[in-house]
Amino acid sequence: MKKILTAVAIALAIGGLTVAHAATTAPSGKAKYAIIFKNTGNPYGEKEMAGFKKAADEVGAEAILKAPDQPTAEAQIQMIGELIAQKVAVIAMVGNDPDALEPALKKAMKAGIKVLSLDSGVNPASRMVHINQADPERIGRVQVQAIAEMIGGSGEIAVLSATSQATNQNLWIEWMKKELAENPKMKNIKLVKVAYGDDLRDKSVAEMEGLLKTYPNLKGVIAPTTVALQPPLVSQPRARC
Amino acid sequence: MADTTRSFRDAGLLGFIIALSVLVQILNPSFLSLENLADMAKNTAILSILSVGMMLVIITRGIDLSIGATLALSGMVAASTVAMWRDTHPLVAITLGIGIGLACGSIVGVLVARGKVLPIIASLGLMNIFRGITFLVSDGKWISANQMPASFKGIALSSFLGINALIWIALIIYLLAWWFLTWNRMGRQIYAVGSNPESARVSGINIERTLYWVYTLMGGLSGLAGVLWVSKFASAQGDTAMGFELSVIAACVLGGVSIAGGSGKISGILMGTLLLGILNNAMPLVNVSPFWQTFIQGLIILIAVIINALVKRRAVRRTMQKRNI
Amino acid sequence: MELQQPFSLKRFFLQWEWMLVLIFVAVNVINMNLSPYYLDAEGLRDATMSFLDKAFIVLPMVFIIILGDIDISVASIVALASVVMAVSFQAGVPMAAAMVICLLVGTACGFVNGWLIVRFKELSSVIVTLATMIIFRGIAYIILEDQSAGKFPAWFKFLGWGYIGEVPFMLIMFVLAVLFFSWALHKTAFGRRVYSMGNNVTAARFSGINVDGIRILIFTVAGLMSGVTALFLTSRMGSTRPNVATGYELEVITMVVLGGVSTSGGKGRMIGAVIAVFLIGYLRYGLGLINIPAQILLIVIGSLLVAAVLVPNFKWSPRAR
Repeated sequence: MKKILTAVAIALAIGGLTVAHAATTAPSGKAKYAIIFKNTGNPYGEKEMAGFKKAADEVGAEAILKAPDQPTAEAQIQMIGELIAQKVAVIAMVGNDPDALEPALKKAMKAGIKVLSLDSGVNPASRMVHINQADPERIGRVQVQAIAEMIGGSGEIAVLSATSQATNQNLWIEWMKKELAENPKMKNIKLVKVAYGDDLRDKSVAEMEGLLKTYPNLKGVIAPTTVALQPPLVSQPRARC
Repeated sequence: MADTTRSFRDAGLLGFIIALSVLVQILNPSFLSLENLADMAKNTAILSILSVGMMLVIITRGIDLSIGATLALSGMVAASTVAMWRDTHPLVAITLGIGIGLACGSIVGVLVARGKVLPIIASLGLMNIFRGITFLVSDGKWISANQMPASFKGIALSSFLGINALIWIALIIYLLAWWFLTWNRMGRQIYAVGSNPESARVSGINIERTLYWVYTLMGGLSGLAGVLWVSKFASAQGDTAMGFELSVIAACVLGGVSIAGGSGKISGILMGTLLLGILNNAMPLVNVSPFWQTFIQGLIILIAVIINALVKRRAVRRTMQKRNI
Repeated sequence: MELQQPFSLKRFFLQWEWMLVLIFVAVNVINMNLSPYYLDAEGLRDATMSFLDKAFIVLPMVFIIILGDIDISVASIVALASVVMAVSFQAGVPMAAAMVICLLVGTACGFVNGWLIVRFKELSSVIVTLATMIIFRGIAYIILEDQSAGKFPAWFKFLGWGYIGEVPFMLIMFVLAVLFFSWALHKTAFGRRVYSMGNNVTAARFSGINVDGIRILIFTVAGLMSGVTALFLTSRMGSTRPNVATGYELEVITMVVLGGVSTSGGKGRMIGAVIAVFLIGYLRYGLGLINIPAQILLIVIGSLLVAAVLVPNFKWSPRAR
């Protein structure tokens, strides 16, 4: 037993030192700019984080790229805490929930960290600036116009979105609904359902199949997220979009 | 006695399934259409494949929580391979997935059989480890549909005699499992180990070996399921099939596999997975709000297991009475 | 058995809890080497608030696992209690009353679990709580659908973010809870009964212990503590959804088992599980500080878990066979 104890202790110590060595050789002293995305692996997020890193390199700052394994606010709150402890200069936030991050981000701002949100925003009280990479009104209206053109001006459509709390998608969907209501050309188009794939591909595929089954007359689907964009392709043999 | 109880129970479950089907059919006549039935079978195929392995594990008084992670890992490795070498034959990808699954399963098997670690703990620990490795292998990235060659995605899309490949694979596995449990010596030993380990040992059964192979087999099936899953959804992610192990366990429990070990039948889990499949398929068809679906599913599982318990209790009481006379 | 053996210093130091302490120290040394920010009183203090919410469930889970049972519905109870609290607050119930409702919902769910398990002894606790796990989460979805609810009064934030003096409120509450649960497990007749039930239920029943009552009580308390976790988690999030706390049940069970509590029942102590809570919490925090993705942590936790159960087995098996 004693032997095992010693062996474990030594193994841990050696492991620790090697990793420690690797970590301390990284350059420090530069200002740290951090970004937290919704979840790991999301192709859109990979692009966004790559861009963030490039920009941070250009201004001579060290970029920290973080994303939780599941798209939840709980994990993001924890990450904000870790960034506050690291005394980063900036946190750029792509939120999984507009309100749930407020206490954590307020704490960061109190610690002197500049907080901004981008893409999927957080509520105004929890950030200094929000960067809207695209005009929500234009996105919403144009997507409806595009699908109207694709289905020939009349029929049932559905929306397959990310999570129900994704701020940007929800804003786009609001504008889609407005466009449908305001534009006389859209009076023959009916939005039958807004489904949520939770930014998970398996769930998005299941939701898509559900849509096809529940609404056999469905003519088109708007998928305003990269994750939900794929299911229509997978279910293509039966989809008419 | 046990046989009559079980067939009584089987009949009950079958009756329930038929009643449910009739109800759904009245509410939505497209339910029993050939197209919808094929859809339902296709969507239940992966669950049913895993249920076979899980049944074997549960018969030996074990449980395996690591299968969702094993599925994700082998799916991810297979997907990365075909993404890198696009002309990899689909069969190679499937073999690779099964191989990784077997390896994962054999680690669980060694821990349970040799290390005498409780199955729930061994598989819980390995679940974490396999998930972590999946993430390492993929570097946190997803493999998307456009990275996969058509031949790979074709595994889940192709069909033979008008029936989808996933259904064929599930059918073959059920036939093999039926043969294994009815005619193979090790298959019979699995029951012996589960119903009474002590007498199994006395009668010369190598319990460690049996346990090892049960978990390895479970891993192999998870590996196969991983490739099918990734091909079906055309996406491999670090969190693929998270929590799916619980659905599989639920299917087994519905099918009358007893957690206490020693009992479980192929026909039972076939009906268990069928019931879950119908629930998943029919609730959207009859316009049950998606937010009610989870609750209804849970409630049906609970009712089914309670009825199971009551039937068993009644059968035991009846035998006791007979003995008194 | 333990009582009959004379006290031995050697045996005392060869316990699993000391192994945990050793690993805990090692984790801290490694973290200090890894990140210059780790050894910071304020950071270390605030880190506790991000992992202590689920730790409240660890305490009753120790009892459940000593009994040889398991409860995988706790995360769903957290979600349901949290959602009911938020919805009743939005319906005009005063916040203090809504918090009481949250605890009551948790308690009721726990009671349902315990009652079902005792009433239908043919079913194991795995099956019952697997079913109720789906049901409780399902009810949360029925209530709130895919929306979130929040907009709590400002003072509610104090639970998850506030300090008394310099110490987080959550940490103080956790310490109090640990003291109470350790006392109940190790210093009372009740605790001794729980151990004897874990060792042999039949023997316990024949020696006059109300085994059914104790089982129901313990599962009910687990529900209550899930309600407490719901309070703290909701306070930290400021709003709630039906899918909060997903996966907490396995994290909690992992902490308990890592703490040396055996799932075959009858073995384990409170202190081990508590050390495991901090061990995993600080391990995660340390890796987060050097921005290593949390998934790597899974490998470490999994290995520790397997080691935790393998080591005692190796200790005894050569002599036993």
